[in-house]
Amino acid sequence: MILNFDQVTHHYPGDEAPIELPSFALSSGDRVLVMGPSGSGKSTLLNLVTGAQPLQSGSIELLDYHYATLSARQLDRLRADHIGIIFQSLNLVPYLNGFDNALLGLQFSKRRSARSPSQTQEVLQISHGLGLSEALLNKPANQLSVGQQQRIAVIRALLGRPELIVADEPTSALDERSTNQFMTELMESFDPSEQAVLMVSHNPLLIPYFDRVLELPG
Amino acid sequence: MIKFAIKSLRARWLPVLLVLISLTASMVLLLSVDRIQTATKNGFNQSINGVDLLVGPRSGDIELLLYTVFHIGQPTNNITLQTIDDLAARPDIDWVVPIALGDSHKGYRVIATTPDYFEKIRYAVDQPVRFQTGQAFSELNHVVVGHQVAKELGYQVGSQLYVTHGSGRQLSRQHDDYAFSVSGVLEPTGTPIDKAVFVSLQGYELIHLGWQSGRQLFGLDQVDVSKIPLDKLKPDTVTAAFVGLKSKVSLFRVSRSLSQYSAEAISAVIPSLALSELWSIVGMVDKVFKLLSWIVIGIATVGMVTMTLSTLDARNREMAILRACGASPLFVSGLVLTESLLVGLSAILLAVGLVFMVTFAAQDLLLAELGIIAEVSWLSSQEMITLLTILSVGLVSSLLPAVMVYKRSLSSSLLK
Repeated sequence: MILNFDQVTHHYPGDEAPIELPSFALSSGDRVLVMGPSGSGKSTLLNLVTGAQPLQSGSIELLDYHYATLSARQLDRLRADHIGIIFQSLNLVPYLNGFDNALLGLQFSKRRSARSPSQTQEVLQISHGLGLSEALLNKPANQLSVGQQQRIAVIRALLGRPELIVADEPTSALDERSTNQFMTELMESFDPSEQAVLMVSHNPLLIPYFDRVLELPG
Repeated sequence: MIKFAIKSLRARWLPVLLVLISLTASMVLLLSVDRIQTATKNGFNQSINGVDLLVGPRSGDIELLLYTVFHIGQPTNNITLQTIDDLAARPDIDWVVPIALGDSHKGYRVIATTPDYFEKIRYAVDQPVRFQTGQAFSELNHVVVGHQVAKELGYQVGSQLYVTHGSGRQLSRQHDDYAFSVSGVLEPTGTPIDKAVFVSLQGYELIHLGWQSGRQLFGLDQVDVSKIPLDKLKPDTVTAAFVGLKSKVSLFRVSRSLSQYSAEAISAVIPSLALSELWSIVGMVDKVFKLLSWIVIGIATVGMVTMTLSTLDARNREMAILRACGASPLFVSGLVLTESLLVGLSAILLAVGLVFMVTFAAQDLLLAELGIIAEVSWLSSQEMITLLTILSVGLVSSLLPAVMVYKRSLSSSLLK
């Protein structure tokens, strides 16, 4: 089992009632889509899973790590070692080129860089699968199209094979055709034998790419 | 982290460059003020060298120093030549060079002295007064001019000039009955010597022959100068004298015993003591300058912090990406600090390089134009401390943005 998310609630200061999040578990090869209207807690769920927000109540387990027992610094390291993150947009550091941005996935994790001994080779391999040329990788981030930027974010998330791939509306800036292409490539690039995908979106077009859909009540 | 910081700075090169320029400029300002102050102080303290005592009519130390070394002001009394001879006869005194002041030439002081002056008087660290062209006076009508006098008035060896009675330019009578001829031009020294005109004591006595109590009784054009016997041309009084001792050890003893000289009321002053006394008055101005340049550095530092703060919002995204990839808040705020450190260090290197280059290139110009002996010297420990202070002030002030980044990246969520 990769992720166990159990009876988690989160209370923001100033809100009347805490957000109650559904319990779920992810195993290798699982692809889960989280849907729900704005304010239903989609972002909160991702922030909790990635350890960016401290856990208030309930239990989150990634591999054998219990979030409740980990410090902020340990959560940073856990995220670096075991989670690949793809944002909605603006995924890249503007002053680095595509290649360096991709390698950021290995920069902060000894474990992931150890699992990816031939980094350049691996970047080129994944980018080939995503239809990115080597010339594009050498361009500064701000000269790439949004679709190209999202693909580099995918390379970054996949490098070093972290167990959990987390994506937050990665297709919201793409048109329908690019969305389909992007999703196909993403699902082909990840390794179902040891990785799981958790994605947040409100786009119903994405449903066919997933095994399960978690609906958050509004 | 350093590679990261360099790439990040390069991406924002324009504002970074502007901050770098303003930091560098203010450091150059501080360094030059510091160096000019040191050079001025050294130059000032080395206005005279090789002289053990200044002897003149009884007066304040600074007053005596002012008119003998800086040619400023006028003594109220003179000392007799008899006293000078007595001094020269003392066994503990090596040499005596008398000077007589009173006349001027186009605003420059005329100093009547003996040719020994150019042998004995030194400046800076044991630098002799050298002739650029020509030589010391050997004839009655010979005159030696300082570097600046020659430059400003266009004199060279052979030029003719008249001496004015008194120091002012107006209401003074020209000694226009007797022309002097330039026999030598001195090299620049960066001391008041550059602005002086030197004649022999005999020449000085000659042009004052027909004068009594500031009024001219007869002109030299009415007498045959060549018939006056040279040994008769001896002034009765002189203004002061430079004195060299046989042994420095006896300095204070001789100085005390001269003050008790019975035939006449005279003062003996140790030049270096009087100079530092005078500097403690003059040196105040430099402290003000130094304060000003610290203020400039303060402003430049504020500029640097402002730049860092104003870019933080734009970099929010970048920080979030780094955090998502597992960078600790410490790394992210460290990045901001490293960037400031890099900018500060480059500013220091640039400033030091510039100051070196300028002092090296303008060394001769500074001496000739401003009389400042600018030495190309490695950073003094004082300057190192100053620069390190600036660097740490810069770092401490960029702690503010760094802490803000740290707090923000801890509290805010990665995903919005």
